[in-house]
This record gives sequence, C-alpha cells and structure tokens, in this order.
Amino acid sequence: MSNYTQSKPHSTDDSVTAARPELQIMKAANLLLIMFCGWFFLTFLYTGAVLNLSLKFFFLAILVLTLRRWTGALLLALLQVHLFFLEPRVADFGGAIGEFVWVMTTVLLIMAVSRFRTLQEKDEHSTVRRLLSSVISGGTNAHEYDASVIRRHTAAAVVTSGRSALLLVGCCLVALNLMSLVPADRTITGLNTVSEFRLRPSGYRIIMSGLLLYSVFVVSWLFINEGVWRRLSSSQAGIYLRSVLLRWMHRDLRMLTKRRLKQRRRTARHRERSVTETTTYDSPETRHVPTDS
Amino acid sequence: MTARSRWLVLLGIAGFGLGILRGQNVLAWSSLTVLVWMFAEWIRFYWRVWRELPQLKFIRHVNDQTQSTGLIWSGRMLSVSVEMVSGKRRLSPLLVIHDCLPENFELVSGRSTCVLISRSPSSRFCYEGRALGLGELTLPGIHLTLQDPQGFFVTERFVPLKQTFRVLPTYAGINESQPLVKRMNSLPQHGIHRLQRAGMGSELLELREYVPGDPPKSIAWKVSARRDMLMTRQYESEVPVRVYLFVDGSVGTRIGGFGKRLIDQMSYVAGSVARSAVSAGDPVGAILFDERGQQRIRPAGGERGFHNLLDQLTAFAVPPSPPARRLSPALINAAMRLCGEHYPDLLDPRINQVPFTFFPISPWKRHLVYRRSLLANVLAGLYGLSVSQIIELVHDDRMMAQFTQRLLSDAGVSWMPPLVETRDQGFHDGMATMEMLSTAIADSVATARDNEVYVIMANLMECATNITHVLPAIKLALARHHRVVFVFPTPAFRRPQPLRTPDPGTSAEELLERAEGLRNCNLADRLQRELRRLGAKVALSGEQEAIRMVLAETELARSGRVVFAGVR
Amino acid sequence: MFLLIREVAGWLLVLAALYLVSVGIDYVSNPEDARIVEAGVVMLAAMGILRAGILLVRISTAARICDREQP
Repeated sequence: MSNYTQSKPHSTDDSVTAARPELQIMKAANLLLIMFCGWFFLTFLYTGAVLNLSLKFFFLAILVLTLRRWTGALLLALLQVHLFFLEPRVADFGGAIGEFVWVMTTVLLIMAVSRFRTLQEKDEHSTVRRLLSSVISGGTNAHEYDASVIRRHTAAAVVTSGRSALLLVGCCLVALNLMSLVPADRTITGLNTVSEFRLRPSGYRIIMSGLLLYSVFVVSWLFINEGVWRRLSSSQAGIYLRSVLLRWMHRDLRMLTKRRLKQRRRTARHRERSVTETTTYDSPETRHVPTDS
Repeated sequence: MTARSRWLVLLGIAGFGLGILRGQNVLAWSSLTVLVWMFAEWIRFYWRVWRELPQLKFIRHVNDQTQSTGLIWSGRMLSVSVEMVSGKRRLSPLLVIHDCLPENFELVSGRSTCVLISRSPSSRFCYEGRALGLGELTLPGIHLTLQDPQGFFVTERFVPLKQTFRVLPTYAGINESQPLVKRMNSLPQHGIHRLQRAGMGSELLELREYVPGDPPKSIAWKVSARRDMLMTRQYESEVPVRVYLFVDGSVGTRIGGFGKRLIDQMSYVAGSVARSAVSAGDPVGAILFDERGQQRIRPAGGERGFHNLLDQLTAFAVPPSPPARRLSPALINAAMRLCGEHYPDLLDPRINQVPFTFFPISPWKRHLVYRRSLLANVLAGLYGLSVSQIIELVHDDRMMAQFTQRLLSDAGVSWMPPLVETRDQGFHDGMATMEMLSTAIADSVATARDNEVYVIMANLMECATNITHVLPAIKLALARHHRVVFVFPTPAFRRPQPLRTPDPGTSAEELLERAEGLRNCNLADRLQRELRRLGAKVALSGEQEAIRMVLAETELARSGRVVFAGVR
Repeated sequence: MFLLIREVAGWLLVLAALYLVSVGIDYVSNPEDARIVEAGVVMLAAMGILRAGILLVRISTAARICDREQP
C-alpha cells in the first residue's frame, strides 16, 4: 500500500517515545502542577455561590477530562465565567497579592494542562494506565530506570518548570503595567457617562488599551516576520512571487485559459466526430452499394 | 498557530474586554496575562525558527556510509542511523525529526522518527530495514516539526538529505552437485561443454564407416583391422552454451507494490539463472523489452559479466513515466500528502497564496479548488512552470493529472492506484507484449549461434487464448536447435494450484481469491498445453522449482541430449 | 539596485504607517479631548499603508533571493 494513499500521513506518527524516562518525568511534573492548581481552585472557586458543591464537581470533571480530550481553553472559560459572575466591580485596582496569586495560578494551570497534552500526544501509553499497572504489579515496574537517570531528569524538569514559572511572573507584571498605563477613573462605577470624557470611561479604557496592545503587537510582528522572511529558500521565494503575480492577474489569465481549453475541447470533439463518420461510411452495414437499376 | 492557541487568544481578548468594561480587574488582568504570555511564547518560537532551525545539521549513515549514491541488494538488511547536530546552541524542545522513507523501503526494526523532549546539543536515532524491489531507492531527507512546549505554535520544515541507491536483484543460491567420478578423458576449458554431436572435441562419440574425405588420422586402425573395413573415429563436439534471458518490462509487469511486481519476480529468476550459468562458465546475455523498445545485452561470462547483467536489469526495472490516467480526488490527495511530507514549507499560506474567487460558492467545492491551487503552485515551483501554466493546471484536468503523476513517480511511489489505473485490459496489453516478444525472438535467432538456451520471462497469462501469435517465433527458435524455456510470473508469486479444498469460505475476499486462482489455473493449463506441444518447457511463477527447471534445461543443452532419459 | 530601491520604498511606507499609528494613539491619549472617530480613520489609513509597504518589502526580498540563487 502506498504511503501517500493512506488516510493518515506518515509525518503525524509522533507517538514514538514509548518509555523514555524524561518524557515520563516531565509528564509527572506537569501532572503534579495540575493537581496543585486544581486543589487551589477547588478550595476557592465558587465560594458563596448557591450550587457551590455541584459547580466544584463540574470544574473537577472538566479538569480531569481536559487531560484526555479538551484543551486548556475550556478551563480558562470556566474561570472567566466564575470571575464574570462573582468578582466584585471596583474602580480601584492596585494588583493585590491575592489577585496576583489567582492570576498566576490560572495561567500556570493552562500552561501545565497544555504541556501535559502535548507530551501525551508524543507518548504511546497513558500516564494513568502506567501508574495503575505499576500499582497492580506491586511496584516491580518502578525500578525500570537507573536512579541517577531519574535524578538528572527530575532536576531538568524542575529547572524547566521554574524557568516557565519565571516567564509567567514576568508576563503577569507586564500585563499589570500595561493595565496601569491607561488611567482608571476612581469616581465612576462604569455606568454613568462623564461629560468631560464624552464617552463612558470603561469604553475609553478599552480603546486605549486596545490601541496600545495593537501598536506593540504590530511593531514586534513586523520586525520578527520580516527577519524570518529574509531566511526564505529560493523555491519558497519563487512560489511566493508566482502566487502574488497570479493573484494580481488572476481574472484575465483565467478567462484566457478557459477560452483556450474550450477551443481545444471543441477541436478534439470535432476530430472525434469526423473519425466516427469516416468509420461509419466505411463499415459494410452502411456502405452504399450501387445497383444496376 | 494551532487551534489550541486560537481559542485561548479569543477567550483572552473577550475576557480582557469584559473585565475592563465591567470594572472586574482580576478578570481583565488574568485575560491580559494570558495574551501577554502567548505573545512571549510566540516571540520565543519565532526566535527558534529564525536562529535554531537553520543551524541544524544532519548526517545519515546507511551501512556506515554517508555517500550520496551507492549500491545495495534487494531483500538484504540495511542499518541506518541519523545524527543531528546543532551549530552553536542547544536545541530546545519540542522537535520531531522524521526520516522520510520511500515506498521501496520496509522498516524492520527501530523507528524512523525521533522526538526531542529535553534540551540537548545533539540527537541520534537508528533503524533497520530493507529494500523491497529492485530499481532505485532514494532516501529524500528529514522532515522536521518544531513545536513550542505548550503546542500553541507549530511549523514544519524539510531538510533535503538525498541518498540514492541502485537496488540490485537478489538471486537464489542453487546447489550445484559436481560429479565425483571422472567421466571424461580430458577436462575441457571452463565454460566449454561436451556436446554429444559430431565435432572436433577430445571425447569419442562413435565409430562409423570411412567416408572419402575423412582425415586419415581419424581412422581407427585396430578396429578397421578387426572388422576388415575402414572405420573412422567420430569425436564429440565441444561448444560453449549461451543463455539468453528475455525479460518483459511492459506496463503490466511494473504494476504493484515494490517486491510484489512481476518484474521483481522475473528479475529474481533471471538473477538466479545467470548466477548458475556464470558459475558453470556459460556466457549469459539478455534482451530486455518493453513499450520503449528492446535492449540487447551481449552474452558475457565471469563475475564482471554477471554484475553488468544485474546492473542493466536494475536500470531496466527503474519505472519510466507512468501511463497517463484521469485526474481523481485520490490522486490529488496522494500528491498533497507527499507535498505535506516533502515540501511543507511550500504549502505555507503566507508563501503559497491562492487568489480569491466568488465561485464555487459551496464550501466543500471551494476547499477542493483551494487545495488544487496550492498544489498547482507547488508543481509550478518544482517544475519551473509559468503563471499562465498554473492557471491551466487549476482548470485542465489532463495537465494536472500528468504533473501529479510525475510528482508521485519522481518521489518513488509504486505503480498502484491512485498513481496508475489498474485496468481490465490485460488481453490488449498481452497482445502488445506478444508482438514485442515475437520481434525479440526473431531478432535473436537471426544473430544467434548454435546451442543457445532461451529463457523467456513474459507476462502472457492474460492472453493465453491467443498464444498462437507468438508460436511462429518459438517454432523458428526450436527449428534452429535452441532450447526454449518459458517462465510465466504469476501475481500471487506462487504457482497456481488446482483448488482441492471443497469449502472456499464465505467471505467476499476468499471467494474472489478462489475465483482468481481458478482463472489463473485454467490459463496456465492452456499455456502449458500449447507450448509443450511444440517442445518448449514451461514453468509458472518465480519459485525455486522454476529456476531448477531452467537449470535442468541448460544442463541438457550442455550435454547435447534431448531429454534426461538418455535418448540422443 | 532596482530591487533595493523598491525595498527602501517599502520600508519608508512602513515607517509612514507606524507614524500614523502613533498619531492615532496621540488622538486618544488625552482623556479630556479624545478624538475617537479621527483616530479610527487614521488607524485604518495606517493599516492600508502598512499592508502596501510590507507587500513591497516582501516582494523585493523574494525577488532578490531568487536573483541571488540564479547562476
């Protein structure tokens, strides 16, 4: 069977790292992180809501299912829904430590879930199944790897997680700074219109922050993309030039080509018909036999 | 950007907007943090694409050789190791390295893919496999998939690392039993055999009455005195036996997966017969014929001649451009998959731009047109087509089919659907093969010497009912005292047997297999009957038994006898 | 040389677009006199010019790469 005629392309066969220790250790580290964040949110989520316990169970179910099926976006949506309904609306914003911990845990949870899912895609065996088999076999599988190897990879996993957490702290602080760039009005509730602003202050804040984010994104996108663009190979550059030229002249060329093809088909049909007619004339059934009369 | 990151960005923007509008600061802050974090990851990812990817270097060792060309034998194990080294920095995860394998390569052990999970300066992976069919084997290069640890951004690249090998046919080692008893007075030169016909050899063939003109030194004086009449000694003839291999390379013999094509089977028989003949000192030649014409390889002996023959067989087995076929969705899909593996960077929508059109309106049809346009651009880049030809590719099915077939054929895809259509036109193909075969035999007889063995390997099963077309040429060869042996390859690579089991099974596959077996059996019977009546030998499939039959016939030719029973 | 001039022209367009973006931000940066509509128009114009500039730069770069690879 041809490789290229199979429904699954060869290149997607990534589950090839059956029992690599670093993969298992990294997965375990991310799982621990997810468990910690899950415990945090289960403790503080929906406190004060009417269906507190049911909502917590729902969150737990989504968290567990996310490890297998969905992405971290669903968890973010759940946390946003919680904040949307239960967070008090205050004009004053200082970035308290409690808020910082909440934000950090949210992003940490999304990061850990995304990483776990990515690593899971590269693994043939489920971590849960591996743990279960280890428990069933009485821990005989536990000594599969050398202790020094486990120690080395554990240290690497801790360093990687620490570095990522540092990046998240940085992102958190940058976001805080970006938010503080736009002045917050301390006297308004967000519902009344301020005459000197001529628009609702919250709307003004959205426009201002949106513009700021957009300009930062555009500048960085521009320089990064153009930098990468200079690394094009000659075949890539050739295809880009051809496709841009084609986009510009597409209508005219298409019209010409279609007309040419139609003409070619007509000629071929005509030739076919003439051949058929000749054959019919020559065939004994239709040949005209002159009679003496 | 993957779907995972798109959803997060969407939720981040929505959450940030709602948080600011409603004055809910933690909602706005957490959403903005997600956006900033994704932006930071994006910058890190692009940095890797920009700085790390171009510094990667790959070395592939095939049987400890790194040369771009080489020679291998089909069916023999190859050990391959791929080593990746980064120029300056340590490589960041995640990086999936996949050595693209052609269809003519079967992976036996190990993996051709490696996933880099932790930071490291180099990586290495090994695997073992073998070439399935003779011809050519090209390992095109390495497919890379670079991903960030969260799976938010993915990019694919292909690093060309082309190594092309000529795959020589394998052959069977036939045990040659050499007689222990001395059966002749003087040992003839290697490759010279005692032909039991009158000649100038050193072994006595018979005594006959003297005929005027016989040389006086051949008169057997003692016998003449005893019989009281002049008797002449008649000696055996000593001649070399030349083996000619007729190999059919028509379309029908090239269809199928590598290693299961009829041409693989025929080459196996040809290689085995040639090996045995060369061991016995007989020169071996070949006539390779297909739709392109016939190629004659002059008989040669020795190891050099044998390897030259194998080399020519290998070159002959490399598939030419496939027969034209209609464009089908399967053909486009196969080409797109190939492009996804070998040219992922050319499918990038920022580079490969597709012009906007209003029609067709249906999303499914729009998607098909979009894919076809992408493919047309890639084909134009690969084969140097102009912009107007790209438009023609998009709208002309025939041209698209032609270039798509060329792309797949160049990548070493076997002649199977969707690359070629398996038509039910075996009869017509067979008639053409018979024409070519008749011409080849007639040409060969015209230039032949005495005592040649013709081993004809051709796909004539499909037109067994009209075998009479090739019979005049065979009669001509037999009339010139050549030995003619037919080997008909069978698709199942085994001899069609009359089915003895009464219960054929109930599944459609089993019934189909039985029907095919019965049909082959009937055709084989008819062929054997017709050809044996003339005095030609017939063997079916490329089994060892067929090879032994050819060797037995060659042995008969060497001895000069007609049959094994000893009748002269 | 011709390609280089086109690339420089492209970068000039990009710079002009960035300048327009800064003008747009300036329009709304003062809360007491935020001219939202004007800022919107300027930003739209900036996006158009940016797009044109990037296209010019990319085409010139790609053409130079092709030119360099050809013998």
